[in-house]
Amino acid sequence: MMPPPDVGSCTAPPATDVWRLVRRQRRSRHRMTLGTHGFTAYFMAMLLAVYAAGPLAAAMRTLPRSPAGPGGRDFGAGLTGLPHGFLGAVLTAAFVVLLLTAARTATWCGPLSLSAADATWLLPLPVDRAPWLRARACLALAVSTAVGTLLGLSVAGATFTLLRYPLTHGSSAHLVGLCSATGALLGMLTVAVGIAAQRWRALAEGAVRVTPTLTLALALLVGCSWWLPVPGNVVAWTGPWGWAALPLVHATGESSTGWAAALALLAAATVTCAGVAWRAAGTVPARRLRRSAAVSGGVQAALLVGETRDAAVRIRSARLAGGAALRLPPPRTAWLVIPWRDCLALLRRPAGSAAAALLAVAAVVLGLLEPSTASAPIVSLAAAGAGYLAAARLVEPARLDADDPRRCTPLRQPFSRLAYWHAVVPTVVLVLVGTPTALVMSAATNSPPIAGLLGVLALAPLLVGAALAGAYRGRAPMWLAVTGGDLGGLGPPGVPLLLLWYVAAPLVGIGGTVYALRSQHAPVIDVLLLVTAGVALSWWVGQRARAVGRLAR
Amino acid sequence: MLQLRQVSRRYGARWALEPIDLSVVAGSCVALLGVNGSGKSTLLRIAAGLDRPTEGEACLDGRPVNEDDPAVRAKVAVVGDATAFYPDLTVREHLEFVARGHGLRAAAGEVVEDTLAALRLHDRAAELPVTLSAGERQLLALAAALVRPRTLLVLDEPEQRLDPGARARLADILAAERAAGRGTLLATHHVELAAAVADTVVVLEAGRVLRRGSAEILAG
Repeated sequence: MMPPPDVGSCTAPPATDVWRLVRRQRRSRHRMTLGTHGFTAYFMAMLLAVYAAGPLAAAMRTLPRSPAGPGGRDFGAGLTGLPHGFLGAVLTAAFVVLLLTAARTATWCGPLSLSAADATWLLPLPVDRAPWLRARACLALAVSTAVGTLLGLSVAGATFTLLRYPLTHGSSAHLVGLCSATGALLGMLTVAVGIAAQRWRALAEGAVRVTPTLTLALALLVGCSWWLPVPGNVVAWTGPWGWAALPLVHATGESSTGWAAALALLAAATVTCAGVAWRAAGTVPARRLRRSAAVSGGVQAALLVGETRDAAVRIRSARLAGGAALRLPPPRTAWLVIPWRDCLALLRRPAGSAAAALLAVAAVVLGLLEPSTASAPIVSLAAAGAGYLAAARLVEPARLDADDPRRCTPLRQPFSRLAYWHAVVPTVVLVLVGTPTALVMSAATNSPPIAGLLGVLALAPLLVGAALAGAYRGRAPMWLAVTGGDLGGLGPPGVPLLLLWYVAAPLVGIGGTVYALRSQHAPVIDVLLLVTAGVALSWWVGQRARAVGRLAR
Repeated sequence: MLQLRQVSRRYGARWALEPIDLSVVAGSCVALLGVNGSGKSTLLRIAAGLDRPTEGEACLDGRPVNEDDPAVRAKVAVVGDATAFYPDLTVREHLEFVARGHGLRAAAGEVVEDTLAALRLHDRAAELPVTLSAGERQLLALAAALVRPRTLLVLDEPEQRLDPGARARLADILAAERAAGRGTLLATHHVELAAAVADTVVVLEAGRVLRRGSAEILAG
């Protein structure tokens, strides 16, 4: 075998030559690649045409007619009735979430994601990879700017043509200009933040850490701005998230002081961030690129076959770092193994557990508010929704079992019976969190504490049961998607049936809770109904767990 | 050549590798043996610059081993345990790409053909990776390390998925590396391979060196 020359006698070619070489080599099979992409595009277009066009057209027909002209829809009139400052606060919150998401995504993916093959073959080459990475960064920034512009144009177009938004001042060109400029800048800024977070891991990890607190603060901000515009106006000047919101608020006709200065500030911040991102792109460490290539490849593969849970688990695993410091002594009784594991899972995901506890508190507070207000049905719905979300977060360990029942193979209990044991810890947590909250609310509203306590004790098992039924629902059978017939102009019933498969459990949990909160019956009847619902849910959970376990064999 | 001084690696609270000294000199082969989880791959990753030690330092020719340094990448060839391929590049094109990417120009074609012949991959040279068996993919990963200039070859269980004939050829290739004055760091579960090619054998257990010496220690 002829040995390769010595290291000293070879000079690494310029990076651009290497990328040109691989492009030239791959060009001969471009038709094959194009064919694959073409088929994917055709498949997606067919899916949209078959499943989305009908429901969308039907939804458009249901919008009320506009007095503004024939064929127009008077949806925009609802926007003008919003309190002053509310739209700005909502947009500011949305843009904070957008930038936060860009930074969070860098923990497993990011704008500079490579394919697994690129990571294997390009990263070990002794060439300076900075020019190549910077070229990719430029491409990502350009694409995101174009996408942002298009989105801005779409929003503007939809606002004044489809929805006939009543422009109180300015012109349609003004609206289009502001929406597209803001969209372009925001698109570029989002990718710049993503690249920076890929380079500086602490930024991405910080974004993950602050998400729960920031989400709560943003929810409070949006809630407050319904009554009081001042907090929203102040937050709008704290950074690019608000600078992007102000021109859009102005475009809708609402008074927005200093929107031009905000737009200029947004442009300056975006250009600066893009410059920093361009420089940083050249120095992203190889191990981070390799890791993100592996994770994002796995996530894409999971999404391609519709395994959304698998994709979510891969992303969560990529964010985990280090070992498990918290320990619990294992139980002596075999039956307590599942509650023990559930406790460990909750202790080792403190952010998720804290979010569940906060949601449970919110559910009890909303559920025990004075029911005489006009918005009581919405409040009850919000209480039930928060309660279901809390329960859904607490049954995460059960969901892991349902994802892959082989995890439970070493246990001697039948898989379906393990499902019932997964109800213990979430129910106890909901009762432990809900009881003191109910007592405090009873004292605050001068109502008898027994009603609140009974409500918590009765509804916690119902919500956990519904969440468990959702966790063990398994994959939707494919025949649902191709069910024939017509739903009165909404197209074939495939999509609604698929949706029902996914929302049946939340509907039962939330519906049952709303019924219990709004019920005017005697407490004995309510308790009997809840017990009946509990028994039915237990049967359902058992059936689903048996089915999921059978499929895995 | 390669010097690891008091190198250790911790993942969370667990020490995957406790402080260890190791050197690979030119023309020598060091084999790492040990059960799964003993720290072999961790040590290899640090030696190749793919991972950073928690404490200690790894140097190649006096320069810190860091894969972000092009000078290090020019010297260290790595055959890892997981390799992804371009679905639209043939076996030969993968190798030509690596050879040219390392600066081989006129000699690239000849080196690639010789390596394909030495690993008995010439019949599959025009095939796409999807048609290769697991063993042939492993041979392609090995070939990619052999077509490029290097002073140190780092191999993580290269015998995996290879048939006995290919394992024998692998042993010949590692012997040729020694003869050419290049260093080799090899992690393996195959005791016969280690005994055949290694000057020094290091047995790891739970991140610690259990035994160290010449290949004769394997007899015990």
